[in-house]
Amino acid sequence: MSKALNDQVTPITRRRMFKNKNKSLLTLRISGSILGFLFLVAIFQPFFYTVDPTASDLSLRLQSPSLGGAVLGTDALGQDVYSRVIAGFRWSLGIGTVGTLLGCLIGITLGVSAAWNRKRLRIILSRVIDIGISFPYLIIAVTIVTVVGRGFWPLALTLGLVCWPTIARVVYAETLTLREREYVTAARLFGIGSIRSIFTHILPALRPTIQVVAAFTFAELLIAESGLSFLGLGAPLGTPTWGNMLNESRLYMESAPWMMFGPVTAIILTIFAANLLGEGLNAREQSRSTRVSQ
Amino acid sequence: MSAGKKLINAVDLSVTFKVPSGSLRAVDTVSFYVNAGETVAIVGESGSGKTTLALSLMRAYAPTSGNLFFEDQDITNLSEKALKDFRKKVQMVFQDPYSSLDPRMTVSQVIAEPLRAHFKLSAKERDEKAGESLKAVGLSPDFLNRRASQFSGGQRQRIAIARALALDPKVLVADEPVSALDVSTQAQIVNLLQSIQEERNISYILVSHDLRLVYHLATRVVVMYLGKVVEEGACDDVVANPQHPYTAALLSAVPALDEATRRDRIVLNGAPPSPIARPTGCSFHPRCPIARPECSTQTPELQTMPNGRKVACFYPGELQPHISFTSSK
Amino acid sequence: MTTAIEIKDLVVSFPTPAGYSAVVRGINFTINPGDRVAVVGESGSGKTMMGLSMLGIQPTSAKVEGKILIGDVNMVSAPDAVARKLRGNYISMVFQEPLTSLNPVRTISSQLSESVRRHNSISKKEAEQRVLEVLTAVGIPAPKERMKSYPHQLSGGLRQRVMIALALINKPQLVVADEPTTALDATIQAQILDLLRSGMGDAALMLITHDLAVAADVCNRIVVMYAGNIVEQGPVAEILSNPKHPYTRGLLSAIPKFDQARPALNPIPGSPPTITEVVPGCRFASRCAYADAQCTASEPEFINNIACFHPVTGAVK
Repeated sequence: MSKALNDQVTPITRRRMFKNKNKSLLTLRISGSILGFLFLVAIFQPFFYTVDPTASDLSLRLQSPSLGGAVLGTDALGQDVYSRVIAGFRWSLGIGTVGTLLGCLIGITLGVSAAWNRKRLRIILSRVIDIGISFPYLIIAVTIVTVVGRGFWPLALTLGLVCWPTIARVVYAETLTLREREYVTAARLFGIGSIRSIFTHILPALRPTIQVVAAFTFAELLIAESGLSFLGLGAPLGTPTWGNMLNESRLYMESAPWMMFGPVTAIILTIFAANLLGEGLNAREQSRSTRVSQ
Repeated sequence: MSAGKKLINAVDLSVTFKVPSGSLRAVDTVSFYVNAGETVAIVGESGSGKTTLALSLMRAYAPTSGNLFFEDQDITNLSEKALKDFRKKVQMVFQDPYSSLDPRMTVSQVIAEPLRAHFKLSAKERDEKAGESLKAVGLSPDFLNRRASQFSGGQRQRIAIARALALDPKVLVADEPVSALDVSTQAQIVNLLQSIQEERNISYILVSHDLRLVYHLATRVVVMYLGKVVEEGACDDVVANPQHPYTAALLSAVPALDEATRRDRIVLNGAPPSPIARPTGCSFHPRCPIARPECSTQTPELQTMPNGRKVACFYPGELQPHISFTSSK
Repeated sequence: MTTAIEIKDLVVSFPTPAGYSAVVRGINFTINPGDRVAVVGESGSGKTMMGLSMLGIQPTSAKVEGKILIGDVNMVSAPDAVARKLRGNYISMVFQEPLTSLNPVRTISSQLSESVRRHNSISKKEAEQRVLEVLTAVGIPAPKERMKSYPHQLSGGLRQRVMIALALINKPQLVVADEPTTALDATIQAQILDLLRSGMGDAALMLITHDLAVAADVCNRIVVMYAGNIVEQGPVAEILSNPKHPYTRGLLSAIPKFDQARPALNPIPGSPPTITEVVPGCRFASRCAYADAQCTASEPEFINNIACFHPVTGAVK
């Protein structure tokens, strides 16, 4: 009976597949456009400035937003909030991307190795992953800042080290399943080595899952970056990053609330787009997996 | 059918697995061989160890004890690296055409995969070889760039066969190659396997529960029960005159197109026991219609009879099934 | 009742991108009390969907038209409350995989008793008595102890016997068995086939299978389905010795037999049409050695137990 269902996809599933596909397509388009635009801003930053973001004019400090002058007002040092928000793009999106990439690199390597190997190595590696997950990220951040100092790359490193365990765990679980697939056994019996098998069969099959996890990780790292900068563990003081701006705005929450609006909006928008992307990718994968038999 | 050199020769092979409830002896001191151009069938039900035996003949894992020879070379404990040459010459076709092919790969990639493991080929050479293999199994080379997931069960099994033949192996192990397919598709694949064997003089090790198929394809039959060989011999002889009561019951269990066979059917009690809880004495005795008292205390060894047949039973030949042979001549 | 079930012009279709496509294309047949009928077909023949519709348990997206008459109730149009009274009571089903059809967290006894008590107002004790009776009838060893087991504690063969017991417990008029032995070992299959052949009591049996030999082993009538239509029907002996439809003949010659000459098998070339494929004329014509212009122009009607313009005579080689 399963032959009939495999050879001709049951029409019920087909209809659900259409719904998922349409929903995910729309979601992907929207999130893709938003993120695309945001990255564009990050790359072509200088074009979006109205003023030099670091130009401080103390005579203009703490001015409320006005359409003629500073669109989002000025901060405590007289710097234009809007331009600083724009300036923050490169930093935040950059950190998010590098951190995610680093996390993926470490996470995939450890996850696949743990799932692929025989007993002892697997136990060791999966314990390492477990420890990684429970490790408090603040300690990592503080350690790195103390040892290396503050700046873009130390922060990116921190974030990479913070996010890899979750990625590793997802990859580990998925690889364990994939490993048991008959075509993987078949490959081994043809004389195909482990490394080649991993690159040919496992990694391509992992790609959709990794894409989804990466999207959500990116969003989380943005929050983490803001948090760390807010705590003073991120960018050097004065650098226009969203986290720093939030930090700076703390004292002026009542007197100059506009100092907060800019960075907060930027953060929320980016995280929303990243999460939406993750959802869209997920839905697309669901619709695909009902089509591909088993 | 050529006599002589044993391509694969397993001597007293045992495979034991560790399971939470103890150890499971899936294959128990089995000796097995296959010559060039032969088709040997391994027949049995769940728990017989037939698939484990087939996999160990392919050195999917090293046996717990015993020796495995390929072309007279001892490959029992060789490393994967040293086995590379062996892997070229012995290939496998699996039961489920839906899970034995990577659905994300194109047909060309699937077929060429074994080639890539052993040779360096350009993309063009790969496509050429894959196209040839496709033609050899009756499919159009136009299919090369389609994804494996787009094909029906029968077509996928052809692709799996094409893949197994890509390296021009000497032995093909087929584990229930047609049982997941429709009747008319089964016949297509069976004919294909036969013509390939005629062309290339390949040996087949056929694992199957379908005795009609076995009778059709095999020259020699090995019957397994609970990890041990209970009967072995030339296919014609074993089917016409089974010596072990289990073989008789298996033959009798084939759904019959005629009344007489049905009436005289040998029906066994109970179910194949689990290999973890083996019966004492002869492992078949709890279900055996002709069991005597000593069968529960003594274990019959595999004896060779004058005509070459091997049986492990104290009362061989006593139980005979009624089988109607047709003759289309 | 004169018939156990009567099917008239049954059409089962599914929504596809191209509109509704039928998997069962208008079939008619009758099963009388005590009959053992095999419905033989390959994947795509519609045999399973027909079986499910007979019990009213087809997928919700399926559209069913025509009449499925059990007594004077039409399962196609009957309200669910009425259908539920018949299901498990007058008509019951045995599925291919008992592990997924039996509730894993309830004992055999409780599942069987529940079925009895749903359709009969008897006491718990009487229900248990009935459960014991039917478990013995289907050949479960030590039924009193086995009653209290859970499905996963039983072997495949025993589970299938339990499924049959569940189907028989309310003394139905018709038991529909869909590939009941496909997942079982050969020697166990033999046991279950025996049970299906002689253990149904007064109930009629409709055995859905892809294996002609299984059909011949158990039943006294064979109905052959292809791509949604019934193409041939008749007593087992007739169909085996003198099949008239080219598809039936093809099926018969494609099965390996114990033939000492070992002739090459005669597979039927090609494959069945997909459910959305529109085929003018006979759906088997593209694979048929006897097809001609008439066959591709119009679909043959089912008359005299066969749907073919050129029925063949003589034994199959």
